[in-house]
Amino acid sequence: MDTNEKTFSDPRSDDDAVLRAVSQIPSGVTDASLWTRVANDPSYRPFHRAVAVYELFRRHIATPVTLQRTALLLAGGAWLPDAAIEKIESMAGETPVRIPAGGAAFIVRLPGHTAAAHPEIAIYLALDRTLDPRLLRDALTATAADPKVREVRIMEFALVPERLSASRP
Amino acid sequence: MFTFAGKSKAVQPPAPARRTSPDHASLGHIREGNRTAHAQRGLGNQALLRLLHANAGGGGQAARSTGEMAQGPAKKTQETVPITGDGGTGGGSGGTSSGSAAPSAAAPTLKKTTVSALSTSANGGFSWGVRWSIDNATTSTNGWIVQHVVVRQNVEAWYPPLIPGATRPIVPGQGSYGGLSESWYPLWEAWQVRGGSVFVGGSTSPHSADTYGQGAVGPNTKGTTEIVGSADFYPSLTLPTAFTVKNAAPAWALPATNTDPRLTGGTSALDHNLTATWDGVGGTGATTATTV
Repeated sequence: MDTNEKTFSDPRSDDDAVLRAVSQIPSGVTDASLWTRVANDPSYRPFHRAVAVYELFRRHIATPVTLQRTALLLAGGAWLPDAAIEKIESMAGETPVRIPAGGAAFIVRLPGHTAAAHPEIAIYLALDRTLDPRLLRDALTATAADPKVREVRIMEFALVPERLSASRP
Repeated sequence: MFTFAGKSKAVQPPAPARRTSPDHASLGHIREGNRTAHAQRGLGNQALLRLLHANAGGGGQAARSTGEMAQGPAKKTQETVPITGDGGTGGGSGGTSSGSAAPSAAAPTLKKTTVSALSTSANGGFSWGVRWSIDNATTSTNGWIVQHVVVRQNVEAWYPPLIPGATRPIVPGQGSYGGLSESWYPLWEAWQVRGGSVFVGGSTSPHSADTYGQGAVGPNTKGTTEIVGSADFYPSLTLPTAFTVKNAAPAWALPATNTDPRLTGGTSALDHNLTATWDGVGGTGATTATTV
Protein backbone atom coordinates (compact mmCIF):
# COMPACT_ATOMS: atom_id res chain seq x y z
CA MET A 1 0.00 0.00 0.00
CA ASP A 2 1.55 3.29 -1.08
CA THR A 3 1.38 6.60 0.75
CA ASN A 4 -1.74 7.79 -1.01
CA GLU A 5 -3.57 4.53 -0.38
CA LYS A 6 -2.55 4.75 3.28
CA THR A 7 -3.86 8.30 3.49
CA PHE A 8 -7.11 7.27 1.87
CA SER A 9 -7.48 4.30 4.22
CA ASP A 10 -6.85 6.37 7.32
CA PRO A 11 -10.20 7.30 8.95
CA ARG A 12 -8.50 10.33 10.50
CA SER A 13 -7.72 11.88 7.10
CA ASP A 14 -9.83 14.97 6.50
CA ASP A 15 -11.94 15.45 3.39
CA ASP A 16 -9.34 17.35 1.40
CA ALA A 17 -6.62 14.86 2.31
CA VAL A 18 -8.87 12.05 1.15
CA LEU A 19 -9.60 13.78 -2.15
CA ARG A 20 -5.97 14.71 -2.76
CA ALA A 21 -4.90 11.14 -2.07
CA VAL A 22 -7.53 9.73 -4.42
CA SER A 23 -6.45 12.08 -7.17
CA GLN A 24 -2.89 10.74 -6.86
CA ILE A 25 -3.86 7.08 -7.14
CA PRO A 26 -3.56 6.09 -10.80
CA SER A 27 -6.47 4.34 -12.47
CA GLY A 28 -6.16 0.63 -13.02
CA VAL A 29 -3.68 -0.07 -10.26
CA THR A 30 -5.95 -0.60 -7.29
CA ASP A 31 -7.82 -3.59 -6.04
CA ALA A 32 -11.54 -3.05 -5.51
CA SER A 33 -11.08 -3.97 -1.87
CA LEU A 34 -9.24 -0.68 -1.27
CA TRP A 35 -12.55 1.08 -1.89
CA THR A 36 -15.04 -1.49 -0.53
CA ARG A 37 -13.18 -1.69 2.78
CA VAL A 38 -13.82 2.00 3.41
CA ALA A 39 -17.27 2.10 1.78
CA ASN A 40 -18.56 -0.73 3.95
CA ASP A 41 -17.04 0.39 7.23
CA PRO A 42 -19.38 2.58 9.32
CA SER A 43 -16.47 3.85 11.39
CA TYR A 44 -15.50 6.14 8.48
CA ARG A 45 -17.27 9.46 7.98
CA PRO A 46 -20.18 9.42 5.47
CA PHE A 47 -18.28 11.62 3.00
CA HIS A 48 -15.22 9.39 3.18
CA ARG A 49 -17.39 6.36 2.48
CA ALA A 50 -19.17 8.17 -0.37
CA VAL A 51 -15.82 8.94 -2.01
CA ALA A 52 -14.96 5.27 -1.74
CA VAL A 53 -18.20 4.27 -3.47
CA TYR A 54 -17.62 6.89 -6.16
CA GLU A 55 -14.11 5.60 -6.88
CA LEU A 56 -15.26 1.99 -6.79
CA PHE A 57 -17.79 2.68 -9.53
CA ARG A 58 -15.44 4.90 -11.51
CA ARG A 59 -12.55 2.46 -11.50
CA HIS A 60 -14.08 -1.00 -11.29
CA ILE A 61 -17.60 -1.12 -12.76
CA ALA A 62 -17.75 -1.66 -16.50
CA THR A 63 -21.13 -1.70 -18.21
CA PRO A 64 -23.19 -3.59 -19.14
CA VAL A 65 -23.02 -5.57 -15.93
CA THR A 66 -25.57 -7.64 -14.04
CA LEU A 67 -26.76 -6.60 -10.62
CA GLN A 68 -25.37 -9.90 -9.33
CA ARG A 69 -21.89 -9.09 -10.63
CA THR A 70 -22.19 -5.56 -9.28
CA ALA A 71 -23.18 -6.90 -5.86
CA LEU A 72 -20.03 -9.02 -5.84
CA LEU A 73 -17.93 -5.95 -6.54
CA LEU A 74 -19.72 -4.01 -3.81
CA ALA A 75 -18.86 -6.79 -1.35
CA GLY A 76 -22.08 -6.51 0.59
CA GLY A 77 -22.78 -2.85 -0.03
CA ALA A 78 -23.09 -2.02 3.65
CA TRP A 79 -23.42 1.65 2.65
CA LEU A 80 -26.61 1.04 0.65
CA PRO A 81 -29.07 1.04 3.59
CA ASP A 82 -28.02 4.65 4.23
CA ALA A 83 -28.31 5.67 0.58
CA ALA A 84 -31.52 6.99 -0.98
CA ILE A 85 -32.58 5.13 -4.11
CA GLU A 86 -35.19 6.80 -6.29
CA LYS A 87 -36.76 5.59 -9.49
CA ILE A 88 -36.83 8.34 -12.10
CA GLU A 89 -40.34 8.59 -13.50
CA SER A 90 -41.49 12.18 -13.51
CA MET A 91 -39.34 14.43 -15.60
CA ALA A 92 -39.21 17.35 -17.94
CA GLY A 93 -35.49 17.38 -18.41
CA GLU A 94 -32.62 14.96 -18.86
CA THR A 95 -30.53 12.43 -16.99
CA PRO A 96 -26.92 11.71 -17.92
CA VAL A 97 -27.80 8.09 -18.71
CA ARG A 98 -29.76 6.83 -21.68
CA ILE A 99 -32.60 4.54 -20.68
CA PRO A 100 -33.04 1.50 -22.89
CA ALA A 101 -36.47 0.59 -24.18
CA GLY A 102 -38.29 -1.35 -21.47
CA GLY A 103 -35.77 -0.26 -18.90
CA ALA A 104 -35.71 2.28 -16.11
CA ALA A 105 -33.46 4.89 -14.56
CA PHE A 106 -32.60 5.36 -10.91
CA ILE A 107 -30.60 7.78 -8.85
CA VAL A 108 -28.66 6.58 -5.82
CA ARG A 109 -27.86 9.44 -3.46
CA LEU A 110 -25.00 8.69 -1.14
CA PRO A 111 -25.04 9.84 2.48
CA GLY A 112 -23.94 13.44 2.43
CA HIS A 113 -21.48 15.76 4.02
CA THR A 114 -23.08 17.70 6.81
CA ALA A 115 -20.85 20.73 6.30
CA ALA A 116 -21.81 20.84 2.60
CA ALA A 117 -18.24 21.72 1.69
CA HIS A 118 -18.55 19.32 -1.22
CA PRO A 119 -21.46 18.64 -3.55
CA GLU A 120 -23.75 15.69 -2.99
CA ILE A 121 -22.40 12.53 -4.57
CA ALA A 122 -24.90 10.53 -6.59
CA ILE A 123 -24.97 7.74 -9.12
CA TYR A 124 -27.43 7.54 -12.00
CA LEU A 125 -28.18 3.99 -13.15
CA ALA A 126 -29.90 2.88 -16.35
CA LEU A 127 -31.22 -0.68 -16.11
CA ASP A 128 -32.43 -2.88 -18.93
CA ARG A 129 -35.59 -3.72 -16.98
CA THR A 130 -37.89 -1.75 -14.79
CA LEU A 131 -37.63 -2.62 -11.13
CA ASP A 132 -38.92 -1.55 -7.77
CA PRO A 133 -36.26 0.52 -5.94
CA ARG A 134 -36.47 -1.86 -2.97
CA LEU A 135 -35.62 -4.80 -5.21
CA LEU A 136 -32.72 -2.87 -6.70
CA ARG A 137 -31.32 -2.30 -3.21
CA ASP A 138 -31.80 -5.98 -2.39
CA ALA A 139 -30.02 -7.02 -5.57
CA LEU A 140 -27.08 -4.71 -4.94
CA THR A 141 -26.70 -6.03 -1.40
CA ALA A 142 -26.89 -9.62 -2.69
CA THR A 143 -30.10 -10.29 -0.80
CA ALA A 144 -32.53 -10.47 -3.73
CA ALA A 145 -34.42 -13.72 -3.64
CA ASP A 146 -35.54 -13.66 -7.26
CA PRO A 147 -32.79 -14.82 -9.63
CA LYS A 148 -34.40 -12.81 -12.45
CA VAL A 149 -33.79 -9.65 -10.48
CA ARG A 150 -30.14 -10.55 -10.03
CA GLU A 151 -29.80 -10.87 -13.81
CA VAL A 152 -31.06 -7.36 -14.53
CA ARG A 153 -28.24 -5.41 -16.13
CA ILE A 154 -26.88 -1.95 -15.50
CA MET A 155 -26.53 -0.66 -19.05
CA GLU A 156 -24.97 2.64 -18.15
CA PHE A 157 -24.15 4.68 -15.09
CA ALA A 158 -23.08 8.24 -14.47
CA LEU A 159 -21.41 9.78 -11.48
CA VAL A 160 -22.21 13.23 -10.19
CA PRO A 161 -20.24 15.36 -9.88
CA GLU A 162 -18.05 14.42 -12.83
CA ARG A 163 -14.92 15.08 -10.80
CA LEU A 164 -14.13 15.17 -7.13
CA SER A 165 -11.61 17.79 -6.17
CA ALA A 166 -10.21 19.07 -2.94
CA SER A 167 -11.35 22.51 -1.86
CA ARG A 168 -7.77 23.36 -0.89
CA PRO A 169 -4.70 22.57 -3.01
CA MET B 1 -34.53 8.33 -23.83
CA PHE B 2 -37.26 7.49 -21.35
CA THR B 3 -39.76 4.79 -22.06
CA PHE B 4 -42.84 3.59 -20.34
CA ALA B 5 -44.45 0.24 -20.79
CA GLY B 6 -47.54 1.70 -22.37
CA LYS B 7 -48.67 1.21 -25.90
CA SER B 8 -46.63 3.16 -28.38
CA LYS B 9 -48.38 5.93 -30.21
CA ALA B 10 -47.25 7.90 -33.18
CA VAL B 11 -46.57 11.58 -32.73
CA GLN B 12 -49.78 13.37 -33.50
CA PRO B 13 -50.58 16.88 -34.59
CA PRO B 14 -51.87 19.24 -31.94
CA ALA B 15 -55.50 18.77 -31.05
CA PRO B 16 -57.79 19.80 -28.24
CA ALA B 17 -58.11 17.45 -25.31
CA ARG B 18 -60.75 14.91 -26.22
CA ARG B 19 -63.38 13.40 -23.98
CA THR B 20 -66.49 11.44 -24.76
CA SER B 21 -67.90 11.03 -21.28
CA PRO B 22 -69.59 14.31 -20.44
CA ASP B 23 -70.01 13.78 -16.73
CA HIS B 24 -70.31 16.92 -14.75
CA ALA B 25 -67.04 16.74 -12.92
CA SER B 26 -64.95 16.53 -16.08
CA LEU B 27 -66.49 19.35 -18.04
CA GLY B 28 -64.23 21.89 -16.46
CA HIS B 29 -61.23 19.92 -17.64
CA ILE B 30 -62.50 19.73 -21.17
CA ARG B 31 -63.24 23.37 -21.37
CA GLU B 32 -59.94 24.30 -19.84
CA GLY B 33 -58.06 21.96 -22.14
CA ASN B 34 -59.77 23.32 -25.21
CA ARG B 35 -59.24 26.87 -24.12
CA THR B 36 -55.57 26.25 -23.62
CA ALA B 37 -55.18 24.49 -26.93
CA HIS B 38 -56.87 27.39 -28.67
CA ALA B 39 -54.67 29.79 -26.82
CA GLN B 40 -51.59 27.90 -27.94
CA ARG B 41 -52.57 28.09 -31.55
CA GLY B 42 -53.56 31.72 -31.38
CA LEU B 43 -50.94 33.23 -29.14
CA GLY B 44 -47.83 31.16 -29.36
CA ASN B 45 -46.08 29.62 -26.42
CA GLN B 46 -44.50 32.73 -24.96
CA ALA B 47 -47.87 34.36 -24.46
CA LEU B 48 -49.41 31.10 -23.27
CA LEU B 49 -46.66 30.59 -20.73
CA ARG B 50 -47.30 34.06 -19.38
CA LEU B 51 -50.99 33.23 -19.09
CA LEU B 52 -50.24 30.02 -17.24
CA HIS B 53 -47.91 31.90 -14.90
CA ALA B 54 -50.61 34.38 -14.13
CA ASN B 55 -53.05 31.59 -13.40
CA ALA B 56 -50.56 29.70 -11.30
CA GLY B 57 -49.46 32.72 -9.34
CA GLY B 58 -46.70 32.61 -10.24
CA GLY B 59 -23.24 23.64 -13.46
CA GLY B 60 -23.30 20.53 -11.96
CA GLN B 61 -21.61 17.81 -13.86
CA ALA B 62 -22.13 14.17 -14.61
CA ALA B 63 -19.71 11.54 -15.80
CA ARG B 64 -21.34 8.90 -17.94
CA SER B 65 -20.15 5.33 -18.07
CA THR B 66 -19.60 3.62 -21.34
CA GLY B 67 -21.59 0.63 -22.40
CA GLU B 68 -23.61 -0.72 -25.24
CA MET B 69 -27.08 0.70 -25.24
CA ALA B 70 -30.23 -0.98 -26.39
CA GLN B 71 -31.50 2.09 -28.14
CA GLY B 72 -35.17 2.23 -28.88
CA PRO B 73 -36.44 2.99 -32.34
CA ALA B 74 -35.36 6.46 -33.28
CA LYS B 75 -38.04 8.35 -35.08
CA LYS B 76 -36.44 11.13 -37.00
CA THR B 77 -39.30 13.55 -36.95
CA GLN B 78 -37.77 16.91 -37.56
CA GLU B 79 -39.91 19.60 -36.09
CA THR B 80 -38.57 22.98 -36.95
CA VAL B 81 -41.32 25.28 -35.81
CA PRO B 82 -41.49 28.78 -37.22
CA ILE B 83 -42.08 31.60 -34.79
CA THR B 84 -45.66 32.77 -34.64
CA GLY B 85 -47.29 35.65 -32.86
CA ASP B 86 -45.10 36.87 -30.05
CA GLY B 87 -43.13 33.68 -29.90
CA GLY B 88 -39.86 35.57 -29.98
CA THR B 89 -37.51 36.09 -27.13
CA GLY B 90 -38.99 39.00 -25.33
CA GLY B 91 -37.48 41.65 -27.50
CA GLY B 92 -33.98 40.30 -27.35
CA SER B 93 -31.41 41.22 -29.90
CA GLY B 94 -30.71 38.74 -32.58
CA GLY B 95 -34.22 37.30 -32.50
CA THR B 96 -35.96 36.42 -35.69
CA SER B 97 -39.45 37.29 -34.61
CA SER B 98 -39.48 40.91 -35.63
CA GLY B 99 -39.94 40.10 -39.27
CA SER B 100 -37.89 43.12 -40.20
CA ALA B 101 -34.67 41.26 -40.83
CA ALA B 102 -34.54 37.71 -42.05
CA PRO B 103 -31.76 35.62 -40.52
CA SER B 104 -28.80 34.97 -42.67
CA ALA B 105 -28.50 31.49 -44.14
CA ALA B 106 -25.67 30.71 -41.77
CA ALA B 107 -27.41 31.85 -38.58
CA PRO B 108 -27.45 29.06 -35.99
CA THR B 109 -30.99 28.11 -35.05
CA LEU B 110 -32.49 25.54 -32.71
CA LYS B 111 -33.97 22.33 -34.07
CA LYS B 112 -36.12 19.75 -32.29
CA THR B 113 -36.19 16.10 -33.35
CA THR B 114 -38.26 13.34 -31.80
CA VAL B 115 -35.91 10.52 -30.76
CA SER B 116 -38.22 8.57 -28.46
CA ALA B 117 -41.72 8.30 -29.85
CA LEU B 118 -44.62 9.31 -27.65
CA SER B 119 -45.80 6.39 -25.55
CA THR B 120 -48.58 6.28 -22.99
CA SER B 121 -49.60 4.08 -20.09
CA ALA B 122 -52.69 3.89 -17.93
CA ASN B 123 -53.90 6.69 -15.70
CA GLY B 124 -51.85 9.54 -17.06
CA GLY B 125 -48.54 7.88 -17.85
CA PHE B 126 -46.57 9.11 -20.84
CA SER B 127 -43.09 9.59 -22.22
CA TRP B 128 -41.77 11.56 -25.17
CA GLY B 129 -38.16 12.33 -25.96
CA VAL B 130 -36.83 15.02 -28.25
CA ARG B 131 -33.28 15.97 -29.09
CA TRP B 132 -32.08 19.52 -29.48
CA SER B 133 -29.55 20.41 -32.12
CA ILE B 134 -28.28 23.55 -33.74
CA ASP B 135 -28.82 24.06 -37.43
CA ASN B 136 -26.02 25.85 -39.25
CA ALA B 137 -23.67 25.18 -36.36
CA THR B 138 -19.93 25.41 -36.76
CA THR B 139 -17.09 24.51 -34.44
CA SER B 140 -17.24 28.05 -33.15
CA THR B 141 -20.93 27.88 -32.23
CA ASN B 142 -21.24 28.20 -28.45
CA GLY B 143 -23.96 29.20 -26.05
CA TRP B 144 -26.88 27.71 -24.18
CA ILE B 145 -30.25 26.27 -25.09
CA VAL B 146 -32.73 27.35 -22.45
CA GLN B 147 -36.22 25.95 -22.19
CA HIS B 148 -39.03 27.50 -20.22
CA VAL B 149 -41.53 24.89 -19.01
CA VAL B 150 -44.87 25.14 -17.27
CA VAL B 151 -47.05 22.21 -16.20
CA ARG B 152 -50.76 22.40 -15.56
CA GLN B 153 -52.62 19.53 -13.93
CA ASN B 154 -56.39 19.23 -13.89
CA VAL B 155 -56.95 15.91 -12.18
CA GLU B 156 -59.74 14.46 -10.07
CA ALA B 157 -60.06 11.15 -8.30
CA TRP B 158 -62.57 8.86 -6.77
CA TYR B 159 -61.70 7.64 -3.30
CA PRO B 160 -63.63 6.37 -0.31
CA PRO B 161 -66.03 7.48 1.06
CA LEU B 162 -67.14 9.19 -2.17
CA ILE B 163 -70.03 7.47 -3.87
CA PRO B 164 -69.06 5.48 -6.98
CA GLY B 165 -68.42 7.81 -9.90
CA ALA B 166 -68.07 10.95 -7.78
CA THR B 167 -64.69 12.66 -7.82
CA ARG B 168 -62.78 15.38 -6.05
CA PRO B 169 -59.76 17.38 -7.27
CA ILE B 170 -56.39 15.94 -6.28
CA VAL B 171 -52.82 17.17 -6.58
CA PRO B 172 -50.54 14.95 -8.69
CA GLY B 173 -47.14 14.44 -7.16
CA GLN B 174 -48.45 14.74 -3.60
CA GLY B 175 -49.27 12.03 -1.11
CA SER B 176 -49.96 8.73 -2.77
CA TYR B 177 -50.48 10.31 -6.20
CA GLY B 178 -47.73 10.19 -8.80
CA GLY B 179 -47.05 12.55 -11.66
CA LEU B 180 -45.46 15.90 -12.30
CA SER B 181 -45.99 18.39 -9.51
CA GLU B 182 -47.18 21.85 -10.53
CA SER B 183 -45.07 23.22 -7.68
CA TRP B 184 -41.90 22.50 -9.67
CA TYR B 185 -42.85 25.14 -12.23
CA PRO B 186 -42.30 27.55 -13.86
CA LEU B 187 -38.91 26.16 -14.70
CA TRP B 188 -36.04 27.29 -16.92
CA GLU B 189 -33.55 24.52 -17.77
CA ALA B 190 -30.41 24.61 -19.86
CA TRP B 191 -28.17 22.61 -22.18
CA GLN B 192 -24.76 23.95 -23.13
CA VAL B 193 -23.70 24.19 -26.76
CA ARG B 194 -19.96 23.83 -27.25
CA GLY B 195 -18.39 23.71 -30.67
CA GLY B 196 -21.81 23.22 -32.22
CA SER B 197 -22.61 20.15 -30.09
CA VAL B 198 -25.18 19.97 -27.30
CA PHE B 199 -24.39 18.66 -23.82
CA VAL B 200 -26.35 17.72 -20.70
CA GLY B 201 -26.07 21.03 -18.91
CA GLY B 202 -22.46 22.04 -18.53
CA SER B 203 -21.25 18.45 -18.28
CA THR B 204 -19.23 16.40 -20.74
CA SER B 205 -22.19 14.05 -21.34
CA PRO B 206 -23.55 14.48 -24.85
CA HIS B 207 -27.20 15.49 -24.94
CA SER B 208 -29.38 12.51 -25.74
CA ALA B 209 -33.01 13.40 -25.12
CA ASP B 210 -35.10 16.03 -23.40
CA THR B 211 -37.86 13.86 -22.00
CA TYR B 212 -41.36 14.75 -20.92
CA GLY B 213 -42.28 11.80 -18.72
CA GLN B 214 -44.88 11.06 -16.09
CA GLY B 215 -45.70 7.76 -14.40
CA ALA B 216 -49.27 6.86 -13.60
CA VAL B 217 -50.94 9.49 -11.44
CA GLY B 218 -52.87 6.72 -9.75
CA PRO B 219 -55.84 4.39 -10.03
CA ASN B 220 -59.32 5.93 -10.08
CA THR B 221 -58.06 9.24 -11.42
CA LYS B 222 -59.03 11.20 -14.48
CA GLY B 223 -58.00 14.46 -16.00
CA THR B 224 -55.48 16.29 -18.10
CA THR B 225 -51.77 17.00 -17.81
CA GLU B 226 -50.47 19.83 -19.95
CA ILE B 227 -46.79 20.59 -20.43
CA VAL B 228 -46.04 23.81 -22.25
CA GLY B 229 -42.45 24.43 -23.17
CA SER B 230 -40.61 27.01 -25.22
CA ALA B 231 -36.92 26.55 -26.00
CA ASP B 232 -34.45 28.91 -27.59
CA PHE B 233 -30.75 29.06 -28.39
CA TYR B 234 -28.77 31.91 -26.90
CA PRO B 235 -25.38 32.24 -28.59
CA SER B 236 -22.45 33.12 -26.36
CA LEU B 237 -24.66 33.30 -23.29
CA THR B 238 -23.03 33.06 -19.88
CA LEU B 239 -25.54 31.05 -17.88
CA PRO B 240 -26.77 33.03 -14.86
CA THR B 241 -25.66 31.61 -11.52
CA ALA B 242 -29.28 31.08 -10.54
CA PHE B 243 -29.20 27.96 -12.68
CA THR B 244 -28.17 25.03 -10.48
CA VAL B 245 -28.17 21.26 -10.84
CA LYS B 246 -30.30 19.54 -8.21
CA ASN B 247 -30.23 15.98 -9.52
CA ALA B 248 -33.91 15.87 -8.72
CA ALA B 249 -37.21 15.99 -10.54
CA PRO B 250 -38.08 17.40 -12.93
CA ALA B 251 -34.87 18.69 -14.56
CA TRP B 252 -32.56 16.04 -13.02
CA ALA B 253 -29.04 16.61 -14.39
CA LEU B 254 -29.79 19.94 -16.05
CA PRO B 255 -29.01 23.29 -14.48
CA ALA B 256 -32.36 24.89 -13.79
CA THR B 257 -34.03 27.78 -12.00
CA ASN B 258 -37.54 28.68 -10.99
CA THR B 259 -36.85 32.38 -11.38
CA ASP B 260 -37.26 34.06 -14.75
CA PRO B 261 -33.71 34.71 -15.98
CA ARG B 262 -35.05 37.32 -18.44
CA LEU B 263 -32.77 36.17 -21.20
CA THR B 264 -32.47 38.08 -24.44
CA GLY B 265 -30.77 37.31 -27.70
CA GLY B 266 -32.43 34.02 -28.58
CA THR B 267 -32.27 33.03 -32.20
CA SER B 268 -35.57 31.21 -32.74
CA ALA B 269 -37.97 29.89 -30.12
CA LEU B 270 -39.47 26.45 -30.55
CA ASP B 271 -42.68 25.17 -29.00
CA HIS B 272 -42.42 21.90 -27.07
CA ASN B 273 -45.81 20.86 -25.74
CA LEU B 274 -47.60 17.74 -24.61
CA THR B 275 -51.18 17.22 -23.47
CA ALA B 276 -52.30 13.93 -21.93
CA THR B 277 -55.88 12.99 -21.04
CA TRP B 278 -57.29 9.94 -19.29
CA ASP B 279 -60.31 8.65 -17.40
CA GLY B 280 -59.68 5.91 -14.90
CA VAL B 281 -62.92 6.59 -13.05
CA GLY B 282 -65.65 6.05 -15.60
CA GLY B 283 -63.39 4.74 -18.35
CA THR B 284 -60.56 2.31 -18.84
CA GLY B 285 -57.84 4.68 -17.70
CA ALA B 286 -56.19 4.59 -21.13
CA THR B 287 -54.20 7.74 -21.74
CA THR B 288 -54.32 9.67 -24.99
CA ALA B 289 -51.78 12.35 -25.71
CA THR B 290 -50.89 14.92 -28.32
CA THR B 291 -47.60 16.67 -28.90
CA VAL B 292 -46.34 19.80 -30.57
